[in-house]
Amino acid sequence: MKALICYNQNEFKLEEIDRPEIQKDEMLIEMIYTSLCGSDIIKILDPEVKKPAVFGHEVVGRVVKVGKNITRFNLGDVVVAAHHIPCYRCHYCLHGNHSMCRHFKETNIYPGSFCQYIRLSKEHIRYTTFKIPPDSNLLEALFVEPLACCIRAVDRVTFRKDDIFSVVGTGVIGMLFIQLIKLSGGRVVAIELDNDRLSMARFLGADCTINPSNQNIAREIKNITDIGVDIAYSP
Amino acid sequence: MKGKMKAQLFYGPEDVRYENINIPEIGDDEALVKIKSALTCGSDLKTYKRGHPTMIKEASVFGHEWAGDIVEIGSDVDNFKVGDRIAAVNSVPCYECYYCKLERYSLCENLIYNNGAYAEYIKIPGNILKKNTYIIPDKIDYREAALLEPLACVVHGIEESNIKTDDMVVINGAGPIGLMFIALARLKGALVISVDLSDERLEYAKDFGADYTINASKESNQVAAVKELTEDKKGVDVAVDATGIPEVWEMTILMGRKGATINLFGGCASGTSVNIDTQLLHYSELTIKGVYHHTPYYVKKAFDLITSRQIDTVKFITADMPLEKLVSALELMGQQKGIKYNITT
Ligand SMILES: [Zn+2]
Ligand SMILES: [Zn+2]
Ligand SMILES: [Zn+2]
Ligand SMILES: [Zn+2]
Repeated sequence: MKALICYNQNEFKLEEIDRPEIQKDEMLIEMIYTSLCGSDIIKILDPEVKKPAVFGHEVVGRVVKVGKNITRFNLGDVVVAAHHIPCYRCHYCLHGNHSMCRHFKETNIYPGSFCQYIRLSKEHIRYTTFKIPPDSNLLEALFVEPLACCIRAVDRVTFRKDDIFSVVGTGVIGMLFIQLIKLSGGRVVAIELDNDRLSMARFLGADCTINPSNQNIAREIKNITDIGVDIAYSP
Repeated sequence: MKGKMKAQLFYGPEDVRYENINIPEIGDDEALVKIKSALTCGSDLKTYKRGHPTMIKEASVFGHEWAGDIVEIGSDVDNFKVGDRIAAVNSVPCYECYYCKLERYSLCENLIYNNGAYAEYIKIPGNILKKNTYIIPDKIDYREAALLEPLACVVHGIEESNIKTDDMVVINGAGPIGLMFIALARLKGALVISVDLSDERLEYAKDFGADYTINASKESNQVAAVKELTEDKKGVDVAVDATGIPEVWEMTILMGRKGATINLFGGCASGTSVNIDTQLLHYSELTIKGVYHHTPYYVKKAFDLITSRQIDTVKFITADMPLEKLVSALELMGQQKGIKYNITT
């Protein structure tokens, strides 16, 4: 199969590698869509992260091979999957801080989503793989994993209707935050250096925008709320 | 391990037989444990008296509070070994269902109960072994560690009771569960009123730290007796039922002050119901809740409470009894004599 191999931050090659083998509790997924996440870029740029490697973890794919023990999924199912799995046993898991779990950090899809086929492990299938209705917009389904991260962050703060949030940085995650906050009845001040992104932020519901390259953040915030925002997000 | 073992089998209400049965066979991810301590539980007594709606089918092993030694282990198990002294609880959430995704693990749709502590050996299913089993430190006896499961339930109950330092808390019922509530409420810094029908049990209650005791058989109005102990007779901050008797549930609700938390913890017989004064519920803004079972988090908390000796587990065990005398032990519990019995083989 084809895979995009990263050798270093400036060198990517599209190469032929072996398609993953699957065991009786695993599934092979053919990629339909995959997307580039900010965390992929961090890994690509980080010299500490081992390379060559196949990056990517946001996937929408079709089940093309199922191990004989798999009952919940069938050939042809379209699925989304999250790449990390908590152990549900360690101190962090027991306290609901699943993303701090060591097992969570160590688990991943194989080999990474920037290729044609990935393998989902028994644990992935059990805990983090979801069927999506075939008539749904598959491109939108790509946002399941990043949106889940944002929902978790919004669920962790208590706020009331009309509370003012600042969202500093309006990349994909910032844009998802803006929409979630608006859905939950909050007001949003989007802060971003790029004017195109700021107009997108307004389009998605931001009530005010600030571009620090030509505006003073402190003064602008003061114009909006005398006492500062209620909740500050810096995605 | 092939062979026979002695076990107490539940055939139906009041029909428990001591028999020789096959030692359970284990799968690759499971373990076989030699039971060193099995504790009697109020729910086993209920099972013995009236059967169990979901947990126990006809002619089955029962008993679910235990500690023991691993004597055989499946090839896939890597976190335990033969010879480990362990305690485990009787279920584990699936982490897959709707309620698990909500992190309401005690409401898991796929809780499968592992019973069979009233026997020489018990099998631990893979998922319980992975996620709800603990190695007992050397300084802790088997019978202390065997308190893990009921204590986990009560830790869950206490954490759902919204107890603040110096709150007045009434615990109705001073059986094993009520006594654990008393001990844990004291750890929360509460003043505790214990209500029971038995003077013997009220003595235990005092021993576990109850500040006030009320013998309901000697009071014409136990609700008034409880309120009498609170400032301006306004009622307690937190009222807990640990009896599972609908009439007591109703009284528990009436014992709370305005805004009280009412924790109806004791499970009642199926088909029963209670009456709640709608005006009282509305105008007093009562929080009335049910709490069931445990979750892995509360199991860990209970394990830490036992191993740190913050709970004096030994005090819960009235006497040791051999496995063949199980029915006598259950009968004694039924007569409200003693707290828990340690069944040994
Ligand atoms: Zn991502
Ligand atoms: Zn973990
Ligand atoms: Zn029990
Ligand atoms: Zn579940």
